[in-house]
Amino acid sequence: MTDNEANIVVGCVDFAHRTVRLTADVAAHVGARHPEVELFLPHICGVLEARDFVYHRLRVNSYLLYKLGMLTGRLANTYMVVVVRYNEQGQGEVRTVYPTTQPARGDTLRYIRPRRSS
Amino acid sequence: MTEEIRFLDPDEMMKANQDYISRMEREGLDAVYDATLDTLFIEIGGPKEALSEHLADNIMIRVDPDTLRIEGLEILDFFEDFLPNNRLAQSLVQDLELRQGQDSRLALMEPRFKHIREVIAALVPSYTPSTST
Repeated sequence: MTDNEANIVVGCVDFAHRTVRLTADVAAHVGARHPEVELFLPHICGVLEARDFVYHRLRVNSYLLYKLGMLTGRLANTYMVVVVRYNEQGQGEVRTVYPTTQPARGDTLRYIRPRRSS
Repeated sequence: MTEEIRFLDPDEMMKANQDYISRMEREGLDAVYDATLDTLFIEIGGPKEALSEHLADNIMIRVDPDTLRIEGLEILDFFEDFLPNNRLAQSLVQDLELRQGQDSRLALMEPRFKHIREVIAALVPSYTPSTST
């Protein structure tokens, strides 16, 4: 295992089959400032694989993936948001994670999960 | 079954935050710049479990999911995007002596940061939850 690999807390493949990783450094900083999501960091792959929405923040080229149903307890019924940046090789790095009730205004909607017909 | 999204009632939020200025004074107000995340956190009484709700531009407001109390603010992509696009904020940052790539923590209740507290106190009531996504 390389030092780089050892530094990865969560590694996943996203909906477009790109590898995305959460490093130990980012996980520690997210956990320190956003204690509410620390327990849910292992669920990042679930968001990346089956997102409900994807928004693009153009100025910084970040993708914000939203998914309901990942957070429980005090955070039930809120979106888990994973912010990812992809490099030129298509590898993604998680920049931050947070819970919210609504997408940020001003970002560009890139994907919305089709509703199931009843 | 479709999971319902939590609704933050604006009237309830207003009621829950009538005392936020006295809470800042009582619990303390800190500015924490996290260089790894390139995020500036403004925290009332330290980091707490909260929702991050979009306020404006790169600014998120941190709201307790049960009490609806505002626990602080965070500004994402602070040096990379927020500052270059918000020139008015640049002088505030100079006052905070923030440096790109360098972690920093400041107690904003110090008298020299009164003008920064006033900006924060003005920003907080401007949050109005949307009624739909």
